[in-house]
Amino acid sequence: MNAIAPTETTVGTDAVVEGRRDRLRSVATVVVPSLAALVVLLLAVWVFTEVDPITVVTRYWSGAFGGWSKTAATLTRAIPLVIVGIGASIALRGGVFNVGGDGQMAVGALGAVLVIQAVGATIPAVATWVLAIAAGAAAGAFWAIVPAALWARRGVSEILSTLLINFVTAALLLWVLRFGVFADPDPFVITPQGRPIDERARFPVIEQTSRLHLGVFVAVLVVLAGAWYLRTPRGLRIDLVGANPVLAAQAGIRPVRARVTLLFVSAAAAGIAGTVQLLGVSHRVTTGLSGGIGYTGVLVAVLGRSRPFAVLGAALVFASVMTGGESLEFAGVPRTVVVVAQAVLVVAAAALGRSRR
Amino acid sequence: MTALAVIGTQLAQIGFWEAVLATGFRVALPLGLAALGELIGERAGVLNLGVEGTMAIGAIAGVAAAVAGGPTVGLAGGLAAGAAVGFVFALLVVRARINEIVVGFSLALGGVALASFLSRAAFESRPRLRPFGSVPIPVLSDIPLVGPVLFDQPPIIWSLPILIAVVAWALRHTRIGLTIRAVGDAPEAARAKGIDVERVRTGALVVAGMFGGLGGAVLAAGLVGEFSDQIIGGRGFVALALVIAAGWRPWALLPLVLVIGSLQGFQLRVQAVGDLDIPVSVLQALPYLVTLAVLAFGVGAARAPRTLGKAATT
Repeated sequence: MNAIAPTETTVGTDAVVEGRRDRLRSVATVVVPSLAALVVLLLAVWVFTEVDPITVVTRYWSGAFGGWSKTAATLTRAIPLVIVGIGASIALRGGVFNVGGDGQMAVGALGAVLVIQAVGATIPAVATWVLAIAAGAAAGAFWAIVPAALWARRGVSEILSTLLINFVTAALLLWVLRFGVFADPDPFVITPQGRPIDERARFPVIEQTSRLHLGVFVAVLVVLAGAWYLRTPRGLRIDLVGANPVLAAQAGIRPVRARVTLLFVSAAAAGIAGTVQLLGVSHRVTTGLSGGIGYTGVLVAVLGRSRPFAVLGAALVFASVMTGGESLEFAGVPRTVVVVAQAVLVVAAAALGRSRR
Repeated sequence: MTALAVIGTQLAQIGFWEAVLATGFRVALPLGLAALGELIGERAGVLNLGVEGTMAIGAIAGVAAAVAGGPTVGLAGGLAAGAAVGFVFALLVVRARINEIVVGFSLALGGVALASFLSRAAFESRPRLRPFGSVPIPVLSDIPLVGPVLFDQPPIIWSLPILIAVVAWALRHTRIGLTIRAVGDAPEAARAKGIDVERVRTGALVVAGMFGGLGGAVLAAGLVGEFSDQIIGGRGFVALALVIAAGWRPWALLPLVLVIGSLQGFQLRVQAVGDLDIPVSVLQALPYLVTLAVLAFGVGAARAPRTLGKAATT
């Protein structure tokens, strides 16, 4: 590779021009490594837990897609992954690795709670949702100010700063959840948790067993918005910044500014994901609200090679691994195998992406 | 206010600080080992974001080996497991040239999960080990403050300054050290000189993995006495940050890990005083906040090995 080739700190930047064939390929990059990785993992599970591959596959499939309510459960899991994943893939195209999604989700949800409490029952539910999501996005982006400033002013890697801030956020959340505005008024709670949000502000449920909620449409909107944004001139410039910052600077783009913007965009997406979880799933801020989705969302973006529709597919794959993994737990396979599967999948996808370069 | 008053009376006692620093110096050991390993890999030009995962796998391997054959075997188990993880990482990044950030990040998440999976697969109930005991050194251990902190500790904590000295000396004065630095700073030139860049990087990553695995094993089998899913709890990421903050110099790691370790010790001790829940959750954030601050106002990226983070293309 010569000096002008994309630096390897960026992922999926090879898609400056995205054609139909490319899209077919990007689907293949999700499917093929999934199969390869699956075989290795199945053998490992067989060896360690004595659950044979056929049982694993059938359990997985029935747990993830066996009937409408199971499929709905998988969709429910995919919602926040899609939203974080789209934000992360926009950032990745510009070479920005925002792994602070967990913290940004929590702070986004806190911002949404403030707005929901402020507007109360004065406006229609739809307006409350829109305002809450806007507030969540703003609060999530706000939480990226420190990593953005550290990167722009001091050259601190955003990977490390966003990671470290996740740990800070997790600790601070316990403290903030004791404040009167946020705290659950129930005197019998032991671990701090937020007060439940108003019934009217919650997303309606589409499917009862799985509690699939309206947020599924928000996720679809985010995918469409991401796909549209990446086709605008502004979006195309992101690819240039990611592929070659020097050339981008010569073309009149300020790379530092562009990357800081990307950090904010991905953090805002995480904030939206946190808000959607609040409105649709948890109905209150808890320490487990993000539950690693901020990290998994980045993996989803890598697996989807930063292409919005492939990211949607990748999120569904990841979500199915989660719901399928839960039903495997009853067969004696520990839940953590799911995360191992996801990691193997992502490395396999990255390997395939490389060989095509 | 009463909470603060309790802390106030604690702060006035020398025994409190002895306990803080003694705990701090112990928890600095796994952190320092992992950071030292990462430093070697980075000097060879490869960024391994997966320290967290390597430590976790080292921790479960260490506990399993210690259950089977005692503490020394436990440490050896962590070392071997870490070497294996480092080798796999090198295969993927150096040989197959897959993006090192993606592989490292996947290792960080997947390694922690794999360790947890293995612990569940291997043990019906979580085994408890006896942590390494302190060995008081006569006379010296009676000195106030310095005595309990330095001279009434498990002897293994001295391995950190010794290993730092060895690595610092080796990097600066030996042929291997020079080769590693050459590979990290100018791989093209090294290649022209006939150095097998891929092999040197693979070796450096295996050694880095050994340190990370050893760190995990020391933590789980030696200091805590058991494996739990959350045992590493971000230490691998802190180690990564400290390598940068130390400007890739081995000796600079020592004060950094001692400070961060002591902050952790402080937080643990204050928590042990009890009944102060509000400041405690903020205190838990302290080590990470200080790491961030050190990162921001420390040496900065100017000293970074020139090809760091670009192993797939150089």
